[in-house]
Amino acid sequence: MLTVKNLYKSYKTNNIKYDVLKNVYFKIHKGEFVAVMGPSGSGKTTLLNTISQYIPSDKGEILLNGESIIGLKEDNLAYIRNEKLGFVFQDFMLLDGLTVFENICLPQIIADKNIVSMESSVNKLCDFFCISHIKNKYPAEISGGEKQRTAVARALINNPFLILADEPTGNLDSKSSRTVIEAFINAKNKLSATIFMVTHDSFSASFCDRVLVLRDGEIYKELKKETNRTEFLDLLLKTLKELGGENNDYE
Amino acid sequence: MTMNNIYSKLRSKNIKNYYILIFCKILSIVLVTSYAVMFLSPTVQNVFPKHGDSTKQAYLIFGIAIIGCALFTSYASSLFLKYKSKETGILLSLGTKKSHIKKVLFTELLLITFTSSVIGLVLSIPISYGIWKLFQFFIIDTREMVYHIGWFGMVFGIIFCLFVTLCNFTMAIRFINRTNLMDILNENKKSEIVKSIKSWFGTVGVIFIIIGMFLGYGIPILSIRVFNFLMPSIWNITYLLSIVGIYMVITFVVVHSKKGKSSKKYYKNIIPKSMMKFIGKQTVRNMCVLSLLICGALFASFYTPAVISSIFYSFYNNPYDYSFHYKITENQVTKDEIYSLAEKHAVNITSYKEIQSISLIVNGVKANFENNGKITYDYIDKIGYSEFFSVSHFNRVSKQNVNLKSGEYMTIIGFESAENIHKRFDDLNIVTNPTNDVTKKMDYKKTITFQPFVKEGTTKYVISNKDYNKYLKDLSKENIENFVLFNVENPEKTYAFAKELKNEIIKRSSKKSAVNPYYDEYAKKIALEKGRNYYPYNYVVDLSTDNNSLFTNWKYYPSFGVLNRQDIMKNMSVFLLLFIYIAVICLTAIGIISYTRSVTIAINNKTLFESLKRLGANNKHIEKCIKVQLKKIFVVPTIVGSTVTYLFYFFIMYGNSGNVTPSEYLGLKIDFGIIILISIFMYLIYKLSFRKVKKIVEI
Ligand SMILES: Nc1ncnc2c1ncn2[C@@H]1O[C@H](COP(=O)(O)OP(=O)(O)OP(=O)(O)O)[C@@H](O)[C@H]1O
Ligand SMILES: [Mg+2]
Repeated sequence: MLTVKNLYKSYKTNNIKYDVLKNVYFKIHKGEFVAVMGPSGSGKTTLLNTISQYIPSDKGEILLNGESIIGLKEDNLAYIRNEKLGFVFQDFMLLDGLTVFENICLPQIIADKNIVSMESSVNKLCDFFCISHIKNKYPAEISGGEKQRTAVARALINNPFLILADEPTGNLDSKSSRTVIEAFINAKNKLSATIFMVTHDSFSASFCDRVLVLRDGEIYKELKKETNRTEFLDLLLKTLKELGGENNDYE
Repeated sequence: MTMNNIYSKLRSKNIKNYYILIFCKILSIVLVTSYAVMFLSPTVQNVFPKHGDSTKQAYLIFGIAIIGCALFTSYASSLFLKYKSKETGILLSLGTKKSHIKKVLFTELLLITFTSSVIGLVLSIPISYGIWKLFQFFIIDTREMVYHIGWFGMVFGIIFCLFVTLCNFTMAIRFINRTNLMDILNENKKSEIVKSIKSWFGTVGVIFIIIGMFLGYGIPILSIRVFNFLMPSIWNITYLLSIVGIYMVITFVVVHSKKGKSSKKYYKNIIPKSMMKFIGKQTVRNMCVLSLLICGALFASFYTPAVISSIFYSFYNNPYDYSFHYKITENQVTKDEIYSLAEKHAVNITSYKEIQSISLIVNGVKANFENNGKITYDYIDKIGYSEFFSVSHFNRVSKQNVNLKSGEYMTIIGFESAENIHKRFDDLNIVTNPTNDVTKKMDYKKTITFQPFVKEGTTKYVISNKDYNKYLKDLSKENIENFVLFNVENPEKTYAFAKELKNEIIKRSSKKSAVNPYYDEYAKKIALEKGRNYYPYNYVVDLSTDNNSLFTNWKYYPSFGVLNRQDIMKNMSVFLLLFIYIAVICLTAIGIISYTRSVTIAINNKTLFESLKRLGANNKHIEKCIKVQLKKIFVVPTIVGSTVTYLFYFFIMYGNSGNVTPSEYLGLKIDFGIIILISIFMYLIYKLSFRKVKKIVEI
């Protein structure tokens, strides 16, 4: 479903080149729920942004359903982003001039969908994420967690079959986190959507089928859920401890 | 809900940014077009010498002003795009087609451009007319000059509109065509850091500024003086070195922070300093533009005091308030008539003097400009007439006490006289008696200052009594002139008397004396003998009392201080108007650019200030952070711009005459006052910006 082959990406600042992604290679199958973990600055956001082609990659291949999306025409890319892809930004990226409700609608409006069905599906999502009471507020007037849930809802509105989420539970309490994870699992089960999620939270990650651990822009390890969730969680915590630096979060 | 609803909602949320852009565009178009309309109006063009220095200066400064206007509209549109960047990025990331966004953005821009162009172009006509009227009302009465609209200026305005539109669209296209969507999303956080620089950077910058000026202005003058070589105009490129110097100095001031002696101070200012560094490149570029615009504004405003100070200086320092001259063959106003006229006007005449001069043929030098830039000189033994006074007559009138031996001469100069490539004070070597063609060698003794005898066209000399009387004996009356000089009590209040006397002089003058200041009997004779055309001869002066051009065009135009001042002001008024207007354009651009820059800084650093607040910084501390930054933006360009211009003006004055004449000195003093005024202007804009910034960062 999603194949990333030998992906390279570097940034240039003050004429010095920083390699952020180095020879990243992985495959995700249809309907798989995969998490990416790794220390801060290891390139997780960069990886997500290159997969969606928000930033161009230097080298390598990104195949979506067997088709390369690198060098795709703008309009085709726009179509994929709108219909097939749900993206949750680390910093939400809500439009300040639109209400929560309108923000969630946006992908449907862009696709020129039927208004009646749109309103009902937005309302359903609002209920699901417990943000119905704020749906007529503007982003400046709601909390960080509420913004995050709005952003997740917006990513799900078009029933995408690939969800790319950058720390979608970063600002949330455990109950709201569970809601988001549930929503992803729902999408996975009902629409056999593929989910690729960056997270620092081992608990959330333990709901995934697989976890890619990124370190210094390389896949350091790949962990698979073999038995049950609690064992997987232990495995995750152990691996992260090996990596060092992130102990505090998980003790 | 449709996409159109979304767009209109976003638009109404950001309507202020649209208004700002429209306002800036209208303003720049109005300024440029109304200036062009005025500058190209037949009324103004008639006054402008076709290839004079003032014309060149007017074009140069107008160029700066146009660049300033173009820049501030492009700043406004980049600010506009900055505000738009987040929404554009989000819409793109959610899968809106780029072509669709382009269509919407370009339609908006087109609409903005079209409305503001039309409004701007239409407004500029009444505004240029209004400014003319205002000027007429306040500065000088130019009633005889009927203002005709320079319709060609509209073409200029339209070209400017197109140019600005092109710039805006290029910016928009570059903005939207980036493939890196994150760049678009984060456009308003984008910054280019200036790398740290060495401490010599500032010093080298200062040296570059000075060398640039010296190369650009000094070398051409020296090359003419020393090598008789006229530099090609491409040489002006060396001024660029000064601009590089300005850039270096400003970069240095923005970025350089020395830990050095007071490390306490270093840490105290570390936050604003590092913030400056972070927005460095754009800020530096901005400040350079501001400095250049301040240079433009000052340069334009310095023109006025230079002119006015020379008028006032010669008015108040001229030993005689009234003087005129005529050939003794003329039937001119007599002493008695002058006195009775004075009585009629209740004017008290003091120190009335008359003095005669004789016209002799002198040698001279003709400078030729070759095509290769080299200047060659022709030395001509008999070039034309000059007037000579006897030393005792001269002493009596000028209240000086000089002595001359036979065969010696002194050159009479004025306060502002200077040697140049056409004329040196000791050019005279040979004098020829026009009656018998006998030549005599003369020796230069020195110069002597006596303003009333200085007039455009000829140089006057003083010779010994013996030589004078010898020549006088065989000269015909045609070669003798009478000079009348006198003072009056309260010269400023004698306007009516001066006017009537002037009119009387004009009425009494014969057709024969209706000649141009450069007209020379001898040169004419030679030209006609050789079958050549003699230009000043063809020039017919219309001797009527209401001919305003007599002041510049008539050889015998009387020099009455109280009238001259008016005449010169009238003659200069159009120049003044244009230069003042350009200064206004530059100042407008300065105001808008520095204001928008301050706002940009506020927007860029809003989150930083918020975190500082969370870190426990109180409003006062944040206020200080902002102040340190804003101050740099305002203070540095003001200082750099005014220092550079002042220096350059000093350079020009010195270069013009090899020294600073008293009136130039007065002009420099007034210029200093202008610098203070512009500093006050900058301070006001600073206050305004500071208020706005405080509002944006919510303190
Ligand atoms: N626009 C950019 N220009 C230059 N360097 C960048 C840019 N964006 C990210 N980087 C660098 O690339 C590296 C990876 O950044 P990235 O945002 O992908 O990290 P991350 O794994 O998402 O970290 P976090 O968990 O803190 O979000 C970092 O070292 C960062 O400094
Ligand atoms: Mg990240």
